[in-house]
Formats: sequence, C-alpha cells, structure tokens
Amino acid sequence: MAAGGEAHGPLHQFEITRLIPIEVGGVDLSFTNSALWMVIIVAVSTLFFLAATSKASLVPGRLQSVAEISYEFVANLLKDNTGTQGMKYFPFVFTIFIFVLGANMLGMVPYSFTVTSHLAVTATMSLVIIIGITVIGLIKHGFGFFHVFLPSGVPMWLAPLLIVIEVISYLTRPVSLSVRLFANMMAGHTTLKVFAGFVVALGLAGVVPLFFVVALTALEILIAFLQAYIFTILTCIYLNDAFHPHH
Amino acid sequence: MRQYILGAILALGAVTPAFASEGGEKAGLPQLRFEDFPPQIFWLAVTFILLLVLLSTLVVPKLQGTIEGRMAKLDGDLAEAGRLKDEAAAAIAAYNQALAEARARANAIAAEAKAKIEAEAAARKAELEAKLAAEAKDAEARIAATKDAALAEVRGIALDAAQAITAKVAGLEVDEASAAAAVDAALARNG
Amino acid sequence: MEVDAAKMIGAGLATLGLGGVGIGLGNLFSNFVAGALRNPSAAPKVFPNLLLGAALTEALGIFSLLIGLLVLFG
Repeated sequence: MAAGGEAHGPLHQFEITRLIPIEVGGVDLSFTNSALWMVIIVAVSTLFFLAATSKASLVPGRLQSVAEISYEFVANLLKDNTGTQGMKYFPFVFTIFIFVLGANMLGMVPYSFTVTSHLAVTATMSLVIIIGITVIGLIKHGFGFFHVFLPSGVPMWLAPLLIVIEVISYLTRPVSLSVRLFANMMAGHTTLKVFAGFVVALGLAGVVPLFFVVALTALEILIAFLQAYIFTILTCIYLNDAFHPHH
Repeated sequence: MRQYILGAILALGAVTPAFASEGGEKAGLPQLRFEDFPPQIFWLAVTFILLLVLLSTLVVPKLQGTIEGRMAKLDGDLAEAGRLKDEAAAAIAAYNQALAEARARANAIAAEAKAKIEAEAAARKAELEAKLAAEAKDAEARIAATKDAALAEVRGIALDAAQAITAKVAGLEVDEASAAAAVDAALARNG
Repeated sequence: MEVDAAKMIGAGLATLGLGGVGIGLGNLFSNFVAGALRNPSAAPKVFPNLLLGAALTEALGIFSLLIGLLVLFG
C-alpha cells in the first residue's frame, strides 16, 4: 500500500490506542478508542430511543416507527424461537441486538472504530451468553438439562458417539458465535480499506475501484445488519435449548 | 467469494507492514494482542450493563406500553366495529322480514280481491244463465201453445174444408162427427 | 525466512477451505431460488432460515480463514 505519507496498513484501523491510561490493581483498564466507541454506541442508541419514545402517539411518527419496528423485530425473533417464556429475557436480547447493530453500523462511519471487530469484545459477549444460558438451563431443569446432549429417539449404541459430537458442538458455540461476528466485521473493513488504497494508488484509473468501494460499502452495511441479526437469532436459538432441552 | 478476495488481501496486508513497518504498527493481528483484552472487556461490561439498564428501564417499558396500548385500542375498535356490524345485520334482517310480511299481505289482499271478483262474476253469470234459461222455456212454451193453436186451427179449417169439399164435389151432407173422424184419421196418417 | 515463506504458503492453503464454503453457499442459495420459484408464496417464510443457514455455513469458512490469520500473524 504505497499510497503516500499517511498510509497505514489495512489492519491499522483495528489498533487499540489508550486515550486515558487507567490501571487498577495492576490490571490495565485504560479508556481506549474501543471504549470511547462503546460509550458512543450507548449514547447514540439511548438518545435515539429516548427521542423516538418521547411522545408516544397512537399513530407513530418516523422515529417512533423505527423504534417500534426494532422492538417488534427482536420480540418476534425471541417469541418464534423460544415461545412466550423467553420474553422474560427480552431486555437482555434487545440490548444485545442494539449493541451489536450499533457497533456494526457506527463502525461503517469513516474514521470510526468497529468495536465488534475485536475478538475480545465478541468472545466476552458470546461467553457470557453461552454460560448464562447454561446456568439458566441448569436452574430450570437441573440434571435434565444434559438431555441437550442426547436427542431423544436415538438408539443406545449410537449414544456415546452422539454425546461426544453434541458436547463438542455445544462447546464450539461460543467460538463460532464470537468468531463469526469478529471475522465478518474485520474481513469487511479490511476489504474496504484495501480497495480504498487501490483508489489512491491507481490515480485516474482509481475510479474503477472507487465503484467497488461504493458497492462494498453497501454490502458491508447489509452485512452489519445481517450479523447483528444472526448474533441475536443464534442467542435466541441457544436460549431455547435452556427452556426445551429435549429436542 | 468475499472470503477468497479476503484471503488474498490479508496476505497482502501481512506483507505490507513487513516491507514498510515504519508506520509505528506493532506486528501481528491487533485482535490477538492479549494485553489489549482487559480494558476492552472491562469497558464492554461497563457500557453493556449501562445500555442494558438504560434500555430496560427507560425504553422497553415505554415501547411495550405504546404497542400494547395500540393493540388494546385496536382490539377495542375492532370489537366496536363487530358490534356495529351485528347491529346492522340485525336491522337488515328485520327490514327483510318486514318486507316479506308486507309482500305476503299484499299477496293475500290480491288473492282475496281476485276471489271476490271471481265469485261475483260467477254469480252474475249463473243469474244470467238462469234468466236466459227461463226466457227460453217461456219462449218454448209460447211456441208450443202457438203451434197447438195453429194445429187446432188447421183441424178446424180442414174440417170445414172437408165438409165444404164433400158438399160441393159429392153433394153429400156429411155430419160434423164423421167429418171430424175422417180429418183426424187423415191428420194422423199424414203426421 | 523459510519460516515466513512457509507461513505464507500455510495461510494460503488454509484459505482453500473457503472453497467448500463457496460450494455450500451456492447450494444453499440455488436451492432457495429454485424453491422460491416453485412456490413464491412460501419464500418469505423460509427467508430467515436462509440467512441463518448462510451465516452458519459462512462461519465454517471463517474458521479456516481464522486458521489462516493465526498462521500469518499468531
């Protein structure tokens, strides 16, 4: 990427920089650019929803419809996958959706930082989700929760093999959940950066990759939404296992 | 497809800092630098819990209230509409019934009038027929009487004629009784 | 230097796993389109499943991509 003095590698956008160094008990808790963008996500989404719900009218305005559509979108997702008993966890799932969507979408703003493109963030979220769901399942069903690992109606001689497979697939859930989101975000942003580098490097002919960048930006916005959706729907599906381990 | 491009690109990205590493970038994937994990996880926890609290206390109940309120309003309106529709249906049924009744009554009246007219016509016809029949009988009687009278007159004339003819032709003086017997016999023979 | 070269080759080989994902995604979407043309009214109902399947399939490819990344940078 020999594109001038300010050129950075395509991975430079993922660098963590410490804005306010904080250290508590030997643990580095610095306020980083990642943390700054997390705060921005919280501020933007909270302000949006407060503005959208400030005057709740019977016939919704534009903002209010968006807020209600997102509410009903997540509510239907949760209801379709877990039934009505899952609605108890609606605020949590809604927050996950809004947080991931906000992170992905704000990451599309030029010069911003994509919070969800970091494994630390996605892995923490998915570990919390999976461990939380396992705890919920164990509280609800006790030992019966382990039926998750043995689908009913399986011949006994197949059980040992199947249990191993199911346990492995259960353990890979947090890995796949976190890696999917982080890798998708990272891949998209790296691709965009590389194509943007081509625009500068090619001079006048850079119009061609410029079109690519525009198209890719549209695609990335779609992916940003899609990955938030996938993250949420998988959370719902995993949550369903906690309610109905006998599948 | 994306991932193919990406593989090539990542290889490119890997090569780039190797050739021009004066950009102040540390080697390796920024995502795998574990010294950056604690601050990210800490601030993720802080912001996520903050967002969870904000959304679940300020936003979700309000949105839920709005949507449920709208649902209740819609259900109420729908129930009201259903009630009005039922009322309209009842009114239509009553109207139809009244219409049917009126039609039945009209039909009855028409039938009655027709029956009355027919009866009147039949009575008048019978009366007329009876009158005509009586007149015809009278006329027949009169004709019969006239005929009898005429026949009696024919006998008298025939008697006179027979007496006169016998007197004139044969010069016989036939008494009235034998002439009458002869005329009667001739009349009986001729019809 | 040989290690670096081997890393490059290894990362390139690891990304070959994405070919399988390409086939899988192609199958997924071609079957969806074929099914949607047969019964267009049922298509919106299975669209979320399509996205879910695409995401799950893509995740497997991203695992091999991750291996590539780890080989390159890890």
